[in-house]
Amino acid sequence: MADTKTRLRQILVDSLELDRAADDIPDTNLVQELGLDSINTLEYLIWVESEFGIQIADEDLSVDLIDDLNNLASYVEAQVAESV
Amino acid sequence: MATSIIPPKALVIGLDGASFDIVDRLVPTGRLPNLAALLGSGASARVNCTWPAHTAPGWSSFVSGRRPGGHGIYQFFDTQDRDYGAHLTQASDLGCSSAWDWLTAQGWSLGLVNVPMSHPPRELPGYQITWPLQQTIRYCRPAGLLAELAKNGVHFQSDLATMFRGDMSYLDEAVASVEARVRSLEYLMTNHPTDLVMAVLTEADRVCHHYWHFCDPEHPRYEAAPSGSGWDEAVERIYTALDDGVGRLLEMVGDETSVVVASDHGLGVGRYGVAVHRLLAEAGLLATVPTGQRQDGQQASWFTGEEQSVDFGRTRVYMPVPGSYGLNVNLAGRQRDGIVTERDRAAVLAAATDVLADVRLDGEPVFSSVVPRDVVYPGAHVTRAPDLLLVPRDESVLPVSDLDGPVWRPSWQTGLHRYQGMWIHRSPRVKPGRLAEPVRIVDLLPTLLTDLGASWPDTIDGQPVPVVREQPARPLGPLAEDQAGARDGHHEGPTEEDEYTSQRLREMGYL
Repeated sequence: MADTKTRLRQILVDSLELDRAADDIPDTNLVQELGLDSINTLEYLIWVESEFGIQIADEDLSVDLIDDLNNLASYVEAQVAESV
Repeated sequence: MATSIIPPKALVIGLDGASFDIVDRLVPTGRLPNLAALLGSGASARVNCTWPAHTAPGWSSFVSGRRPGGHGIYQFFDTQDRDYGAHLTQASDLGCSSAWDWLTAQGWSLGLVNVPMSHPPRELPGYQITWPLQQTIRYCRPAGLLAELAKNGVHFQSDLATMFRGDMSYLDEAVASVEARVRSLEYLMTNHPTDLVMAVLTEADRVCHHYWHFCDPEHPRYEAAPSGSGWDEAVERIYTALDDGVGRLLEMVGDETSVVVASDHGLGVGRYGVAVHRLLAEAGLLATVPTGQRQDGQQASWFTGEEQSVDFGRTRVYMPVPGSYGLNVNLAGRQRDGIVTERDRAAVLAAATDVLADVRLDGEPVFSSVVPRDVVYPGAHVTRAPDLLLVPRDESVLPVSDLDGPVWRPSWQTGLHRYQGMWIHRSPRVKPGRLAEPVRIVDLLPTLLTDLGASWPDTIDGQPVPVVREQPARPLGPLAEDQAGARDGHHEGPTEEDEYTSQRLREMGYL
């Protein structure tokens, strides 16, 4: 889980071109903390799909998924396990 | 032209909602140098689009060469939903083949970007970034292309994500969106060459809908723009951004590439909304129930007002979808709670026609005619159309479906669609000059295909505009319908109203 969250933090920095270190990104409240909206969220998730080789289903797109790194990391790991 | 790319044989740039009313005003000011150059070297004309003048039937007619009765797309939503629901129309609802099928059958590769009503993406040679009306990241084929774009700094945002949301800072976002989309297209044309590229830029439509009253001192709700906002020049700014985008795309191709710039409808001043459901209720054709007491089954959100909701068990006529300019008889056996028998259908249609034909503004009829669908939508898919079409005489008035409040109210959008769009076609084989008479939207692709020496099926409504020099009778002879990829238009889309989509369309003023 920790490794997945580290990678997700770096993807956030790269995809959103954030001017902050990946380590500084908190686990929770990301929507408010990073100003995530429906526009940049989709771009972020497209990067996540590509980096982890998974597919995020439309019905799984939600604020809860992207607001909390624990949720997203769990989701990603489950998708990766499914695809193995 | 950049020397390292393989230019397409054809480049089609769709400018949603663009109008010669604006272009012809701005060209002499020097603010649209690229469109001016295209006008100087290409054929051009005003375009009679579709009734209603709307993105969904407009682009569907453009890509299929058929009038709405031939393809069955009348609105963003199904206008004959049995259960009064909000079923989104999708690419699979197009009830016929399209230019993409015809060109694929002739060995062409395609790059299709942001073409309305194209979602979900299909297996076509080349690539496709669709125009989803739902929250999704599956709007691209091949699947990895969106990630490739994002990682190269040219991410392509879906239209739904970038729509106007009531925040007037949208103008800056729209200008930036045009620039970003053109950057994506430059990348795609450089790294994924195809025989034909078609991309639709939608920002003129959005800006004209919501900023018109800042730009037009003659607007009845004219409002001085806040100092320094630039909103008083919003229309000029977005057209300038689009012109710049057109110029950059033209730099990607040479003179041998056929270039078409076209729109699906125009835009002009928007003054009023007329609440059709209120009129039908006053005439006894539509019944309502206090919203808190409604006990019917599920229905689309626009049938439920804050105070009153449609009571379909007692309603004979209703507007199926906002902005559809259509009315349905609530027919027994066809609609879930239908109460009008087939025997009474004609009389009910006549009663509704009388009500709407009598609507006047400033002493003049608002609708020039109220037409049965069999007359206005001939074709295999007429049964998916609303039963009656309201043809506006005054296009500054929008029929809305509100159930509460007065019959007349200011239109929420201060710019509204117009029937006439625009068309420019530049090619070494095309005679330049503005045509005196409008052409039809269904004729635009047959004209391009004639220019390109490609063919199309006999079954379409469109015919080439006679602007191609030494035009053969039909370059390759007609395509057989089975070669062309005939389709029946079956519904594969979501079957329940998606609140995210409805909210976006509501913010845009469509619902």
